[in-house]
Amino acid sequence: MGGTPTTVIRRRSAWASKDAGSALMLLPAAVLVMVVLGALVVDQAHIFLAQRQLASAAQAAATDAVSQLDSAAFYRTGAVALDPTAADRVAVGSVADQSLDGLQLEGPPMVVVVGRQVCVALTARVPAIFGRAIPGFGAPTIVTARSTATAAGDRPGPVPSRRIC
Amino acid sequence: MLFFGALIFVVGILVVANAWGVLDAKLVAGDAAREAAWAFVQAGSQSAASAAALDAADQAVSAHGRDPSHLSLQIDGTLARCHRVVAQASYRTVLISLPWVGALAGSFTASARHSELVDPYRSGLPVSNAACAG
Repeated sequence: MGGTPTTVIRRRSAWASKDAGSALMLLPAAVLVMVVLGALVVDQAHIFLAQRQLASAAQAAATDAVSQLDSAAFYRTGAVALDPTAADRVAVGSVADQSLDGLQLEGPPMVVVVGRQVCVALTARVPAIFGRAIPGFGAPTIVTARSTATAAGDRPGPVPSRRIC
Repeated sequence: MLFFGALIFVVGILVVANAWGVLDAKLVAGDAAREAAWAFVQAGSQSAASAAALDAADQAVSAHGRDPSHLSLQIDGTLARCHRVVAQASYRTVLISLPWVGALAGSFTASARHSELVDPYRSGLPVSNAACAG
């Protein structure tokens, strides 16, 4: 009964001595995995930041565009409505004045005007930073953002939230 | 072998940390520019607008836990109806000096720009017919 533990210890010792140095083989692989994971985290943060920039630009463009009221229509009928041409022009100008570094816009902003609401939608391509050096992660990411703004007015009352773009 | 493995690991982590610092500085600059532009167009007068913009930008930087003294802010535009105001914020962040990758040493300045249109129907501000006509 007392001899069994001794036998086990001897076996372990023999087993361990056969595999001496395996940690040295695993260490470079572990380091590589850690660095690649860190790089992918930075790339994902970059995409998140780009998405945030695009959303901010869409929001600013919609806020600017919603100020373009159709004065002639208002004085004619009393209804608050946006001038689609002016809203589009202002929204495009607003997006052009935002800093969208690291983003490649996919075409001009999409501006949809319905009554006194305007929606600005943007689509951009975000190139990978470290992902280009990692096989399978080099493709750019497409991000989209849209923002809707409504001109205030007391007639005909609050405008219900609608998906106009 | 073990020493070089650890060294490569540390350098790799520092590269990633530097990249993260750049992204964070970019985030700070973007928020500062947005807050500054918004504060400028909401201010009551042209003289108060610049101070309000700078104060808002400093607060945005402080909210990120960063040092406002590293921020520089430039505002283009006047506080008049229909005028476009552009705020450009630059934030300088210090990078870590890396062995083998010495080019990253020093500091990096992240810049961001944000524009806002002054409300065309706001009272108490000068009117520019040319700007409002587009």
